[in-house]
Amino acid sequence: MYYRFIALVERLERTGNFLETAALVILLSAMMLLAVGQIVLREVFNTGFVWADELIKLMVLWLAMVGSIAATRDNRHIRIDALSHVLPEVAIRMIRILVDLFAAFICGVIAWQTWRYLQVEIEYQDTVLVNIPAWIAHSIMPAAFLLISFRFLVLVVKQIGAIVTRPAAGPGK
Amino acid sequence: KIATATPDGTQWMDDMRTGAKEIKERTEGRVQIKYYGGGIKGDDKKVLGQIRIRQLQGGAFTPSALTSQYSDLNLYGMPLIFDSEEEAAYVRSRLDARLQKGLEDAGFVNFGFATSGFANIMSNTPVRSLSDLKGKRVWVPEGDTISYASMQALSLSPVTLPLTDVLTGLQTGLIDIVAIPPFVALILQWHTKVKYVTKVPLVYTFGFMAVDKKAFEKINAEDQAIVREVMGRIYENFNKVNLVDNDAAFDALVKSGIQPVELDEEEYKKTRKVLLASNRQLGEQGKFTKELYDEMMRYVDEYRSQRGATGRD
Amino acid sequence: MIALSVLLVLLAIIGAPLFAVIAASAMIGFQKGETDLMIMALEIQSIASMPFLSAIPMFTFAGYLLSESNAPTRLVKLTGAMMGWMPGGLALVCLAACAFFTAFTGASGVTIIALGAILYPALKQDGYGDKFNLGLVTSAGSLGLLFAPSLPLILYGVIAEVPVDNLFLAGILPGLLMLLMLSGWSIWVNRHIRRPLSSFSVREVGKALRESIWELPLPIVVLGGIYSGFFAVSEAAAVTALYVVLVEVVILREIPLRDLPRIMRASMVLVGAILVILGASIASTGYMIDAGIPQRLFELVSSMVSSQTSFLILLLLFLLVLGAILDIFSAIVLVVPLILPIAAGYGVNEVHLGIVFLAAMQLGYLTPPVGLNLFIASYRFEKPILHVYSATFPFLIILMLSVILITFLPELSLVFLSN
Ligand code: NA
Ligand code: NA
Repeated sequence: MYYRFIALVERLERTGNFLETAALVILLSAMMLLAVGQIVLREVFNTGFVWADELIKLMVLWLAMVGSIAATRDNRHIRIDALSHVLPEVAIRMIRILVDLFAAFICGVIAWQTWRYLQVEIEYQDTVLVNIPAWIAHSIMPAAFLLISFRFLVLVVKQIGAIVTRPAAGPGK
Repeated sequence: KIATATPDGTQWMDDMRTGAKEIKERTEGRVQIKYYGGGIKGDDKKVLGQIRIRQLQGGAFTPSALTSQYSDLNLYGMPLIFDSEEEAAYVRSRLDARLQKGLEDAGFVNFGFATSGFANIMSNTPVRSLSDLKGKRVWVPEGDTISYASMQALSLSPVTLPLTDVLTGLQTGLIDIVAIPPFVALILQWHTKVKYVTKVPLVYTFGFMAVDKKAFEKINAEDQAIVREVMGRIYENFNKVNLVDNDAAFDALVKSGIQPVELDEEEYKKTRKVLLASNRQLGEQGKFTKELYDEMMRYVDEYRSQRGATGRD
Repeated sequence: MIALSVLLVLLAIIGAPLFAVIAASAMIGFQKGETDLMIMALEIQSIASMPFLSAIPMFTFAGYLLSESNAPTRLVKLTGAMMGWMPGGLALVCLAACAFFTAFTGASGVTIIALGAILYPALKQDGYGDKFNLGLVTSAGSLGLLFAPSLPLILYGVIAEVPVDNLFLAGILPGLLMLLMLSGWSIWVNRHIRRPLSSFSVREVGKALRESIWELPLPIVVLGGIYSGFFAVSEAAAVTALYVVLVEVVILREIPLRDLPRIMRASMVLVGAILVILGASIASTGYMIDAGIPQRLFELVSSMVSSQTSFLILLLLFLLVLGAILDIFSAIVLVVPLILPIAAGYGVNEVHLGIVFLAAMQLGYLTPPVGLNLFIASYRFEKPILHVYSATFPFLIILMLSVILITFLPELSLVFLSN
């Protein structure tokens, strides 16, 4: 049961990894091309797009959110890392389980609240980029925080797995 | 709770706080207003969002911030509509109530509009005619589609930059021209980076306070009347004082070494023709109520025929 | 409330992701102030309304690309040809190359990994003492922090709403001062090493220049582009990133095209980690403004200190403690909004404050318990962490002296801005 669950998670992880990377590549490339394109349009053709700057800024938000999902997967979020050099491995893993459960809970709350605000934006028919519904641009927030929350739970499961499957004597020093 | 971009310690904020005190006393503490100055509550969009989730009850805005709620709000602010403050006052005395009603129907109670004078052309090369603008980069605030359309109608190159980037943009030559009321230029220090100011009534600017209608209706009718009276008085006063301030600011600009430039009369007429045509086109695209725009222009013509000439000095 | 705060601090110390701790504190505060928690959406989406911010992902990507190419080797070769003839020359090469490289890679530890691997063995071979080498490479790893277009400089500009190009100018002299003081110390320590690395040869310099011909225009693209008005800071970042792709992937072909997605992902993971903390910090700042905390903090501080000088001393002490426990990015987004109004109350220029803040934070890379450079060096060169601590100590003292000078000589930061 446990191993089948792990296998499923691992398959999901490969797909997720690919999707994240693809999204990051597309966003970053488009952002660079758009910014340079604006310069060329301005310097050479004396024109530009009125929405370009706003779009670049929305892309920053998307990069931040998708990058943050990827950072959770790679376990690269910034933490005060004072204990990992003093405590034994098992203690560190148990502490990690605790703090990552906390992070998963907080991200779940943020996902829920940003989702609620999305409904408000739909109700008021807010727009971005001249006439695009704002909720489309902002839907990345609840989606991302939900996924981040999920990733933290996966990290917790992995830590538990590592403690459970650890050889009884522990890693030889 | 009301947010404004006006910094604490200015005369405006003092007046608003005095008004808040009066309201508090006269309503026996039932209505208390707290101001968040200096833009600490974020930009217009963020303030609007906070009004929706009842974190704030109102904010001080410029018309472009609320045009997506009420599209006719920026009619006065379209380029080269008015020739003079007197002309604007004449038209406003006939239309203000209508716009205020429109804004209220869109969910925002307000207490009158306070003009901040005409935005003038400030530049690093003298601008006397339309041809002086050719090839120059004109700053347009982010998301201001009407100004953007006007610039394109004049075949200029608009550059959209956030407010914070403008000073640097002027310094490095990323932008050559900004349009802004003189006293706002003084506050933002933009006058330190330009050499010329063209005294042309380019765009009529104004600001106002918008309070969430649902929040406003929670207070009882008598208190509402008190708030309207006090705030209305304050805004009427702002409307007067700002004009004096703006004239003083223009003199201060000239005194600080910026050269005043006059626009050629023929050029002005030619430019106005192009811009009014572009305005009408936006109206036809449904960017605002075309009938209201035409009515405004009728009042303008009415005023001019009464005067027998343009009111421009 | 106090119990909850203590709990959160505790969670942070035992390693909870900082952004989650900050977001939690903001939400608890908002909840207490009866603010709808939907406010979190508004706060986080203001990431999309900050000027300059797009410069961060693009410069980060450019830095990652540079560090994966052979640019580090070329850089060492070039500085070696130019400075290697001096006594103690290789130490100076190490400092200069690291400073240049850090400016572009943003002091995320990449410098030690990319350049340290070349410089550390070379220093040893040249007869420098092992302890000196370790300390030098470790402390040089964050030396270019004050030089454009370093990431922390841009982030400070975004948070403090100071034009980033002003910060770029302000960082020049203080950055050079740090460089010079460490150079002086290095020459003094190694004054007995008479043998220069190489004799000065115009031909060698020319050869190294030719090899680096593609990377040399980078500072010109960045600074020249911005100060000539050709483009804005965020556009300079885009041009830099595209240029680096063009050079390293298309022209020099040191990075195969198929590696680009991996490098993009790696750099955006860092960007995501920084920006999500930024989003959480905007929320906590929003709550603190609501609760009037900056004013109360200001009253507290002004009841303790009266003059600008004593304020600056207090600030430095505070920043040193902060740098010992927080990484530079979290410190900027978390603390700058709080100290900015206080510093303004004491008449401290916001650009100068930024330079002081970053210079002091640079020490944080080298102070235990949390010092990124210490960990990376310990890991990279396989030395016990305590050994790294003691090897770095003299350099830390020198840098501390330079930070004191930078703090109390605001002219160093502001001389180019006085127009
Ligand atoms: Na530290
Ligand atoms: Na640190």
